[in-house]
Amino acid sequence: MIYLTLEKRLHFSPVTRISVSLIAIAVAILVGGIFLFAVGVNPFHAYGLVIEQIFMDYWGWQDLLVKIIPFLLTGIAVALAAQMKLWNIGAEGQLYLGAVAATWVALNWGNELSIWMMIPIMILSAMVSGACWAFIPGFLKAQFGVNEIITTLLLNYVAISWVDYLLYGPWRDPGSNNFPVTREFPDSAQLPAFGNTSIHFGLIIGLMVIFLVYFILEKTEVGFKVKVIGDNIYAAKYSGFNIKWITLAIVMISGALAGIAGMAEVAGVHYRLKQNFSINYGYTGIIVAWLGRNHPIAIIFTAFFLAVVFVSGELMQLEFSLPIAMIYLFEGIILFSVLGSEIFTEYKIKIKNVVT
Amino acid sequence: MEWIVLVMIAAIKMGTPLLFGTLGGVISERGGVINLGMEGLMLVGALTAFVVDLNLNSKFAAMVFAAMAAGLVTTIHAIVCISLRANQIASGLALALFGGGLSGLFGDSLVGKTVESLNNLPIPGLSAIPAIGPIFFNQDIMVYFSYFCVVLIWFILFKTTLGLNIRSMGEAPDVCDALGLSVFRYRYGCVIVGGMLIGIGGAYFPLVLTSFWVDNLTAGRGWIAVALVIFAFWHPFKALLGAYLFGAAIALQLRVQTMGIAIPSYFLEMFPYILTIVVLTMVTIRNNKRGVSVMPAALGLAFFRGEKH
Amino acid sequence: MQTSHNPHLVLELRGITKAFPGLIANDRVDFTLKQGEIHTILGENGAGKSTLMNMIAGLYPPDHGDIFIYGKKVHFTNPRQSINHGIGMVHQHFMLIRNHTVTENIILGTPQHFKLNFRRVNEEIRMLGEKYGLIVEPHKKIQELSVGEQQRVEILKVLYRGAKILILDEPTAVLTPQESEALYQIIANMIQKDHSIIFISHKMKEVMSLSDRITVLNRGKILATFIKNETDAQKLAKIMMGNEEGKELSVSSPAPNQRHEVVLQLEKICANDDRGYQILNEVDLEIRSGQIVGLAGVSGNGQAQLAEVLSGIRPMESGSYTYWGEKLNAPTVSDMIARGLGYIPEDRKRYGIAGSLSIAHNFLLRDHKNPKFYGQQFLDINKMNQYARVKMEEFDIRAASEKTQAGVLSGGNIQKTILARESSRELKFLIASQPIRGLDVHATAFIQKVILQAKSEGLAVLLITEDLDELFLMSDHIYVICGGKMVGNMPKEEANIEQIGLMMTGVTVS
Repeated sequence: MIYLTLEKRLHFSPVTRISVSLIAIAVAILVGGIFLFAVGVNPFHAYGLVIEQIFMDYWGWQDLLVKIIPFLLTGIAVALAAQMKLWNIGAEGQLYLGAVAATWVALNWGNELSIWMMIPIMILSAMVSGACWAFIPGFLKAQFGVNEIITTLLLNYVAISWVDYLLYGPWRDPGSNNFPVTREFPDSAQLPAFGNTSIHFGLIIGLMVIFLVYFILEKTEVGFKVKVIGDNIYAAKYSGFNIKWITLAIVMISGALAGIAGMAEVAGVHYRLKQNFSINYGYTGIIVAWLGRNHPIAIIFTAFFLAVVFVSGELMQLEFSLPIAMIYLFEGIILFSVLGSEIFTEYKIKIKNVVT
Repeated sequence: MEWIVLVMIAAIKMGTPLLFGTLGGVISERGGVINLGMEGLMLVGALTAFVVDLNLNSKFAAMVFAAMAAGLVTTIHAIVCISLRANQIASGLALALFGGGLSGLFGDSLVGKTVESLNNLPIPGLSAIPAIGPIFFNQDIMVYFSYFCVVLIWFILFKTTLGLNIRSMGEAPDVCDALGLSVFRYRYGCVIVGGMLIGIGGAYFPLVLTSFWVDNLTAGRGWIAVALVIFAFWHPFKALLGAYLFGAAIALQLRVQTMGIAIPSYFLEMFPYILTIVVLTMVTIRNNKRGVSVMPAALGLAFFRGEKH
Repeated sequence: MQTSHNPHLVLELRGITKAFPGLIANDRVDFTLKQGEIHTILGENGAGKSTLMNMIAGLYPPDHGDIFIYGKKVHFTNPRQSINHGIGMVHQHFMLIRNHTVTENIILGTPQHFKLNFRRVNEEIRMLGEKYGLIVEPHKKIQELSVGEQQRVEILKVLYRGAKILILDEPTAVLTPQESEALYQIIANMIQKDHSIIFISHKMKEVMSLSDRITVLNRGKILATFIKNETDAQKLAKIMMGNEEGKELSVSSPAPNQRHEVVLQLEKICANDDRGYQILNEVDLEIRSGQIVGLAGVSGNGQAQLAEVLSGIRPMESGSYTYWGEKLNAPTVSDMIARGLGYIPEDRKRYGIAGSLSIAHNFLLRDHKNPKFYGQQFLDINKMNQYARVKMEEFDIRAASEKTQAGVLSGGNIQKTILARESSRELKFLIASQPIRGLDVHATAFIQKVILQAKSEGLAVLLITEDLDELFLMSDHIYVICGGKMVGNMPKEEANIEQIGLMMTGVTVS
């Protein structure tokens, strides 16, 4: 009888890990193609368009570098919490709340302060707002051990309802023909772009945040504590770390980073707060972090990959009028595929031949 | 008084998809596998039921196909978590995205169409009892089916060999394996059957609650069901209690909206989610005080024989 | 079909070989078990005993070699086949479900009616228990039972399945002397009722009194098989350890002229467990410099919590804690580290290391403020690695490099890492909780030597142990804890094993 068994690899190398991940992504693209075919789109045509109109196109690259910005920030937000084995599924809501705070600043003070004052204040307020929103699940987790997966997730719905209320109520632009959007931000509240591209300053902020988180994790006492707590909470107790405080702080910082993502979107892309401005950017952060194994530097690459997925999805929307749900489907496929492949970084398949 | 009865009738209706979802979660988690993807599965069930009912005009077929479609999609989760031993939480999120995306993609062209709503079927005699009758026994057949599922699952879990084996899978799969029970078989069974029930919960939306399809029809109720599994302490009777409590919260919210009280509807929409967080916190605190965990001990852990030697 | 030659053999292994990646666990093992005999397998940790037994139990198949049961060749691909052939294994780490009742545990996996008839099954189990002297309450949950009772459930579990061949894997490792005696009686009952037993142990005394035959296993190979009367304990010990010297400790005894100052004094310490129930009840304790105080007790009687109170992890509710003459109120972990307290935790893998971090990073645990790891202001990975390399050399920690994940190290190397880390600061008081549990003979000797050496240089040590041999070997003074109370307090010279054993189980000795 011949059967397949799994055998633990004695040594696993980054090369194995990366090649397994690449194969998983290839499989995801293949499966995605099948679904494209199922809704009547020729996958070869579709993928050809992606290469032609995104990778081989000046505007395509511009779109990618704009799209990567929220993913850098939500990805690092989720990854930071995940370093402590905490699931921040609430980046979506924290992002919205960050955008709300930035919008409030922009609409109220924008005409009085210069851009040099406005942008830092908007970033700061977005961070505080995101952090406060994350305080709720963070506190409940640190103090009582309430499952943060569920609380962070449910708060997203609350945050979105709150934004809807603002947009349909007090904040609606009277001149918007009843569209749920705010007034446009004054110039001083708009993130500057590079040259005459649409790539805005958020890219620099995103990269800076990532390197800062990397530095803190690798080089500081706090970073060391975070790693130990994430690996083994008992060892952390034995070492006398204040787990409650660090948990709360990390969840709040995670929320603050997601908040910056919201600020960057409204101040760098839309120049106003509007409904559904985030297309699952917060949830996508989870995929970005997972694919990058929560490693800050790897997140730059996985965020870029997800940017490709999104820009491609929007291209499909234009070319074949497919709904936005295509992107979510594709995200699900990628995550499944990468998860399913992980076992092969630790184990190899052995064919055994047992004589019975 | 009549007002309360009306809200309660609506509470059962609103609670029924939650109940199916929670029961599905209970089965899956008793077997040791978390299913965080309920929202996606419900959407798959909802869309399937809607499409089948639209084409075959059969509520029964709609329910069966919804269960099968959700069961099929959960199988991916089962393969990834059980055979490939991946992180169950991440896989559940993938399932939520996948199911949501799938229903959004294939439901896109169906927006605007409607089906007939499932009729109420009063049970003779019982439905005549004042208050209790109209609330519990003048409902549609899917509600009665959910009662049946509650009792059946309770009986199976706690009174049969099958149930003992399932509960043991969630507590200590290594022990089960050493005693010759197939961990794979039981866990696959639990995840898939659980997924089917969740799919039926999703089917309840187009068949009874809305009669139409919109993108993201379940609007987060799947996530509430995830929380309800914890609230219910993995027990079917408490699942019933929790589902109707939240059904009541949703019904009340809708009721207040229609009464024209001057609270913006956006705040009312937040209510069930906030309530879930509050209740979850209270349950966790109470559980901490008691000190005994009723959570299946091996929940969320993958199993692989021969890891140790 | 191949058959075995000898019809009296209930079990025969021929040429069993099993390899795991990177190690040959069993190498051409031959073994026989006769009807009604107790055949002991003797060997150190890692000798391959468990692997061999797991193959008999059907957990995994051998790579080569044959298993014969009652002369018939068998090939197990899953545990159920082994069970059906009348083999029952009582694992060292109990395979019980804590949240389930005794009955549920016993019947799990056995053929039953679809609808369970608990009343009938409870009765069956009660009767089976009476037959062998295994008394347990069928409706109780496992978590309510003592260790000895849990073991009875394990044995009942295999008997209920009709096992004729029982494998007992280090059954007395977790038992008190009294519980062990009861187990010997149960084993005698089973032999009388025609069962055959494979007994795994490395306690020479019980091996010599129970066994009919003894097989010595070392590094996966059978070294010899003896009939009990034809050998003696010394000879066996020598063979078992691969002809190396046994537990002889060449450490100079403490300098007698040393001043024994009081390092630690506890008066009426009370503390609660994680659930808020009192676990320490007015504990008194005194430890002097240059002294090892042994604290004996059955696990779960408060000794773990006592260590946590001393090291600042767990708050005390009342009582007084005096440390080097200073009365401490609510010491934190970092306070105690700064005061020179070292702590080797009982569950070394769980508490002592962060398994997925490198060995170098693990040297920062409980020492993360130490400037030796820092550059100007930030952690310096080169300094960390350099330091780890030095310590690995000094403590003979075997690993590919200092960047290796600590979690993949063997138990002995983990323990050496912890010891190296805890003793690298200027140590004034060391808590060593079960420091040698599960370690092989070399690691044990090394760890004990380091502790004794430190003591002779004036260190105060609290040694928490269940192993009475270790207790008597290492301690100068002995305390006994039971139910959160100190029930015994005597110099080693005045103590004897039986008396300590009784105290551990709560029997007051006058």
